[in-house]
Amino acid sequence: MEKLEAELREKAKELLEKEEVTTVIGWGAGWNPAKASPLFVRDAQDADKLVFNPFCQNNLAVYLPRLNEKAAVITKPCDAGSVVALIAEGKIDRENVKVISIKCPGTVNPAKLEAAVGSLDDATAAYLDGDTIVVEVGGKAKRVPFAQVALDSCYLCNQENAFGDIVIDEGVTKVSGEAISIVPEDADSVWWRDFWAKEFDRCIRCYACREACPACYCRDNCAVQALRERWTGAKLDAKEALMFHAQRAMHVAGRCTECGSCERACPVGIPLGLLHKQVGDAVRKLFDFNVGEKADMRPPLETFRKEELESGH
Amino acid sequence: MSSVGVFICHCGTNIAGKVDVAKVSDDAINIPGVVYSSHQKYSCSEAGQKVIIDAIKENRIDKVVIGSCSPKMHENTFRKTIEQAGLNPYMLEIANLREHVSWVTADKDSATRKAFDLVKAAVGKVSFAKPLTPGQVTVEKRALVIGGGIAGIQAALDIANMGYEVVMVEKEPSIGGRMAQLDKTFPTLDCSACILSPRMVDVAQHPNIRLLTYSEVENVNGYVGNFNVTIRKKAKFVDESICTGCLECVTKCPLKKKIPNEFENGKAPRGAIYVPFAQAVPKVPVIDKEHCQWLLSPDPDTIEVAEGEKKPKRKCGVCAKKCELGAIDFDMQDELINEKFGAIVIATGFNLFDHKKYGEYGAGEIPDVITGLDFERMVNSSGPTEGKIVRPSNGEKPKKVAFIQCVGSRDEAKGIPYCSRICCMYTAKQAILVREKLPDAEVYVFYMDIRAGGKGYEEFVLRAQREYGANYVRGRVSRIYEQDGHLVLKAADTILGMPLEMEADMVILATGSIAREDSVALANTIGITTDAYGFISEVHPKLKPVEVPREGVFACGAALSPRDIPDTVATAGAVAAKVGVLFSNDILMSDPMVANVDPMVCVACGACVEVCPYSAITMEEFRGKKFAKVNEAMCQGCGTCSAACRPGAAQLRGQTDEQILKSIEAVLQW
Repeated sequence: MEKLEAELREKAKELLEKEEVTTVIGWGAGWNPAKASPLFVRDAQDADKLVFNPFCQNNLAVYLPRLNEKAAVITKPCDAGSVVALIAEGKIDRENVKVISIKCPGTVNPAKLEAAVGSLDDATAAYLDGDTIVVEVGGKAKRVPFAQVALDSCYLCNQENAFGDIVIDEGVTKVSGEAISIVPEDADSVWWRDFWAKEFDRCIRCYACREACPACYCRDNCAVQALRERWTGAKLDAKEALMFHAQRAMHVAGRCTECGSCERACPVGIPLGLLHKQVGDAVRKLFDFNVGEKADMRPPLETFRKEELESGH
Repeated sequence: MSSVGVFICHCGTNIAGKVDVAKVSDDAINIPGVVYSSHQKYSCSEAGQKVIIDAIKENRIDKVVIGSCSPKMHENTFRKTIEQAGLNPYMLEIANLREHVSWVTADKDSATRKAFDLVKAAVGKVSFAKPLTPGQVTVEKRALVIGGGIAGIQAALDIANMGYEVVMVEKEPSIGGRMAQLDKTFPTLDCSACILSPRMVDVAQHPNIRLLTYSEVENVNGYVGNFNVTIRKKAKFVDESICTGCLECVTKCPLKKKIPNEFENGKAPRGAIYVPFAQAVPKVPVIDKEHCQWLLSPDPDTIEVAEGEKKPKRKCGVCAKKCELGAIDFDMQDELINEKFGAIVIATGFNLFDHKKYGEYGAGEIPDVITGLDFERMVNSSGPTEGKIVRPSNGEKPKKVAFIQCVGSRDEAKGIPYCSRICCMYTAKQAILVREKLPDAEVYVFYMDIRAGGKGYEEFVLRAQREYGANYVRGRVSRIYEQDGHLVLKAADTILGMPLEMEADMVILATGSIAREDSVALANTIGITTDAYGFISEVHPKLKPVEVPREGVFACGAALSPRDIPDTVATAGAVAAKVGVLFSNDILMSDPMVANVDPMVCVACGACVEVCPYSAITMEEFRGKKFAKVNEAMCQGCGTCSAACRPGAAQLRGQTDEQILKSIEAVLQW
């Protein structure tokens, strides 16, 4: 892990010194040892502030569409697809972006970790020790197997296909474990309706899911807060929230890499990943299309192809 | 707040018979924003329009809702009406109370309720209407004619004679099309080539017509008055500017007896270098790269051989050696030509049904069962048998000839329920030709009905029967098989109500006319539609029979539906007249109800650029901000961009999100 971080800092320093980029987007220390925050390094001297550990959650691709400079971005394998998807949509200029791809050991799911070790607010240290996550609170070290507290998506992660200009591979072993689904096998439309009605009742319309999403680059022009007549109301209730999330799910259909950023950003813990997985499954089935795989293919829902007309799609 | 005037039309009893128009009108006055409401017998009449104009002026109405027939019918009428009253013509919304209500609703109460809902929605929508002004576009006064058959020839000549430039694109090496393949034409028995070839020559020599044979339309962009068309001029491997048409090369091609000639329906051979027929225009041969030995043999420059070894030479090359002028150019490449046109004419013609689908008639495997087109070539003096009617199996004269009509037409089981219109007549003609050339032969015609609607057509069929003694038998042939050197036909005579078995020497199938196999692809290239059978769809079968849904594009002849030569020539003339009308304008008004993109809302995702079927949207940049921009002249107002736009920057004028939401709201609330 230390070697990986050292190499990462080295690469960042090199890119900035050679003026290949004007900024390197990575992670720095968070407000607490069990967190990491996005960090923009513009000075080679600051490269040492970059960190990489299992607490680096954010999908940094989210910053790329609004950047107007040559930038390097550090991506975990799960985020790399977002960069590819943004290139495919023409939202980032391939020449202006250097992708530093990191082979990562996996990322901690803070909710699972808190469930296992209690509140992280007073943690004095948190780190990965072999296959164990260690959190020190009040001088006492609490240990929990990484496999128990990693993000579900880490268990399914296939690091082989990560896309990057620079690949940092320091032989880390990926966490393995089993994802536990909260969706029963026989979930039908009634189950889903009740499930989302319950979940969206908590939604406070903070739009953190949207802000964390690399595909949601409309920013202030987002349809749900337009000043003219719009399809969704701003009222705080489960129905309007459902409308908002359904609209967002449709807007990112065929563009969402299911990176999980929205779900991690949600302050009230709505499992948005389930919604995007359902839409993603439909897209894969209908169009045989994997988001973030090809940089030269527009999203399937916004293409108009004569072949589709002929095949009756 | 707008002041909306509501006018409910009775349409005689068309609407008033089912909808309580007085109640709708009375209730409408209570809709927020409505300042005036009335009902009248015929709003579209002059008197009715005057009522509307006066009411607008007296009541200071600034937006109008008319509850009447479909906007397709009278939207333009009423736009002009309110314009006369001093309003912008687009401050109008039609509630369709006829097609959407009275004609389709049984119960009077629910009809009245629905009518009121539609009026409410229209009021809601019109209250967000904004004044619109049409744009102006210039007209490029040049026409593209696709297809060089009789339809294309006639259209091209008529347009060219009006003084406009025409480019004719023909896929085959020669113009002439289907008509050039025919021997005689009904009902006058004119020699087809004799009446066609002068027109073909006229096309070639006309100063306003440029002929591009062996060429295909590859891409069409743009809009009425300003189409940008890419044409692929396929390599002929013969330099047209040098070739004199001596055809020395054609006679020396070693493959000249090897390749079936498409023009002869495959019944006579051609070489790899060939002209399809003697009267071809232009009379310049082409080399078929699928067969030419030189072109198929590997290029010696690309072959690597061991030192000392000789490189293999190209095969053949006889034509190049024989051409004294050096017109053969094996290095010729396909050429892409980009041209601008104001109008496009589709005259791509038809194909004939492939009787392989008729297993009961031998599926094309019985040599003496031939098609009408095979017969046309056979009976033609320059055809494969030099005009002799013989049995393909043994070259003998047939003593008994049977014709079967409706092969691949009026046959739902074979997927063609429509009547091909030409087969009854060409069968009668061919029956006459058989009796003329072989007076001793017996002729039988198996028919379902005789459809001989046309000038002199019925008389012609009667001549075939009475003067030439063709025996017409009403009934379908169920099976044909070979036996002892003859054909046996099993049929039913439905007039006698008896089964029938007959021997014949030769059977001629009147195969029906179908759309060209590439018609759907062409329609997609141009951005228009076809019907279920692949024929080009017209805008209106009666009132706009040669217009297609893309403005500035017209179609004529058998590309639209099966038709004979007189109808084809007539529609070609009609198309020329329509093109003339279009070209009589220096400037066209474009429909203002098109899309536009608000650059302040646009996030430059490019989805609209991608989905636009008319390539009307491009990405622009201003002071570092990228945004999509609609070319309003190219936009057809389909609204696809608006549906694809996530932030709602792309809006269709006259159908904005605001207007649609407001009309939904109106139905639910008021």
